[in-house]
Amino acid sequence: MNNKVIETNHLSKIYVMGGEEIKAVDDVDLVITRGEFISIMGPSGSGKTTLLNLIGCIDRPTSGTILFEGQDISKLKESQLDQLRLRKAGFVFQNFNLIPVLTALENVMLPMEMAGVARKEQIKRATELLAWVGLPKRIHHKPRELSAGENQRVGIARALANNPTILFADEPTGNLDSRIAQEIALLFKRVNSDYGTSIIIVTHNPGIAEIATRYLKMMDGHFV
Amino acid sequence: MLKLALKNLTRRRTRTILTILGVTVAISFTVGLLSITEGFMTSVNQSVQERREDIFVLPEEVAGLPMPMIESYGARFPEDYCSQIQSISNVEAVYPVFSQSLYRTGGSMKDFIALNGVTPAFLTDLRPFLEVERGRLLQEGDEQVVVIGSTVAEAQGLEVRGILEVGEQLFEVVGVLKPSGGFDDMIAYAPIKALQEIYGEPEKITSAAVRVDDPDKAEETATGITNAFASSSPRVVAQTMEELLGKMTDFLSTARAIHFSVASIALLIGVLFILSTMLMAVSERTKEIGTMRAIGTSRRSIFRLIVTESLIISLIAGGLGCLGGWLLSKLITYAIAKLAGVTFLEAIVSPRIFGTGLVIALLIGALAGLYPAWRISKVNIVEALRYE
Repeated sequence: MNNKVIETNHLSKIYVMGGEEIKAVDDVDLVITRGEFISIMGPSGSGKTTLLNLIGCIDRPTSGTILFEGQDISKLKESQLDQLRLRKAGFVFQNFNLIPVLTALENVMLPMEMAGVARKEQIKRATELLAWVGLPKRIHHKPRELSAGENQRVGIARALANNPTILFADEPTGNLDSRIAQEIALLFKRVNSDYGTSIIIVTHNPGIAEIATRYLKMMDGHFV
Repeated sequence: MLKLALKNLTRRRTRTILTILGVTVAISFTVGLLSITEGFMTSVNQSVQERREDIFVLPEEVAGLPMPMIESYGARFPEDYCSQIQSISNVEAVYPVFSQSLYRTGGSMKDFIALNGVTPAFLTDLRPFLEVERGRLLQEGDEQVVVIGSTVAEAQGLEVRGILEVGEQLFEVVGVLKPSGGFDDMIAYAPIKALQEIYGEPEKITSAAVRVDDPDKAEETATGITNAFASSSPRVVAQTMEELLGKMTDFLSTARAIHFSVASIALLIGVLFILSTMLMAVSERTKEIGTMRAIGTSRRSIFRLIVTESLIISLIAGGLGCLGGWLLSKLITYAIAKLAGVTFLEAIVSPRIFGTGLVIALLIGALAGLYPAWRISKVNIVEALRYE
């Protein structure tokens, strides 16, 4: 079995702004292996989020290739990319990005519903996941009834819903105070160890960088 | 997905409710107008179809005017034309009619009585569907008596033995008819001789009803009658009942076309209502929809979600609109009955009209949902995630 989850070759993303080319990601080669926990740090505008979006298959590169579990994603149709993100990837956002009208349970069930999981199974797995992230008693609460830390736990449970190979997290502790941020960092560590999920986190938080198995620093679109 | 669509509509409750109300009003109008038009057409068709005459003979000058069997417009022709008509081949019987419109105080429909001077045979042969509620029909030898339709009885407060004043003469009510559901309810029947005398026009009639032996040849016979009087003065025109019915249907089709255009405007308003609501709703949710796309929701699912939301609004409005349209049509017919005394105008709210209302609602929902759904489903995920 291929041990590489992600492999990029000469990956670049160039934006044109006011006639000027901005190399957000500049000739990046990156390999992420199964079960790896990578943190990416770097100043604002160094291309961290753009890189995450590219390897997370929500943005298309200007040049270079991305292999997702050995498959060249540039050859995939949009609907196939949707399926890939739905089943193989999990996303955690800085602002949690939960659906406000849905309860915690329903938010976690949503990706499973999209994947066609039976409703009974959705409820069972979502309940287990919410208990696992530490919210066994808050499953029927809506996001506005939960604290920031609790919302991020729901966000992590949602990202794990379809048992992904890799988790993409963009500044997941950026909106949390340091104590809660530390708890969330430890939760990522548990995801990595309990589920064996590869994790790639863009962060400014040195606490997270510390518990990662690999630490990368970005500057001007490439690793330094 | 349906659950999410429903929940999304509760985000801005006031806006959703207002949108539903707007579309409800649009659909109510459509359903109400259709019901009334439908009811009117059915009622006119019925009352004309039940008549037993095959040909209607009128003075030429009024032949093109509407409702010639109720309103005479003052035109007359000699009664002895009847014997000439009788001698034309295929004519079975001729029934002279002297009609006179009576306007009691006011002058609204409620105060209008179509007074028809007829022979007793006219009622028994040509209006067998008219049944006596109280009293009796006309008889040979009657003089200043009158048999009145149910609307006349109600509007004038007349009963058997009551007195109807006709041209300064008093006519005794000898019979009140059961409601027929047609415009016969607005007619009062009196002996033709008595009316001719009172109006000082003996030997003059306003129309003649003709029955033929072979209805298939009615049209030829009508032409024959018209031609027979081509060089007489005044000339008359004979029309088959089918022709008359056709003219009335034409008139009603025009009315229906006008109603449809009014309804179309209402529908346009419905579409614009939902369209603006949905555009606002998707714009507010750009980031959320970007998130859904990022975690693997397909464009098609997003598209379906938005169209579903639009359809839910329009279907609720469609249901309420059917109800509102039904109430509206009842209200209008009630108002017409109270104000104008026209009781035969009964709105018909058939399943077909409800069906039309719901189909129109579905169309509104689909049309109004497509553009916002298309627009938001093709949003760039990265940009949508950055959207604040």
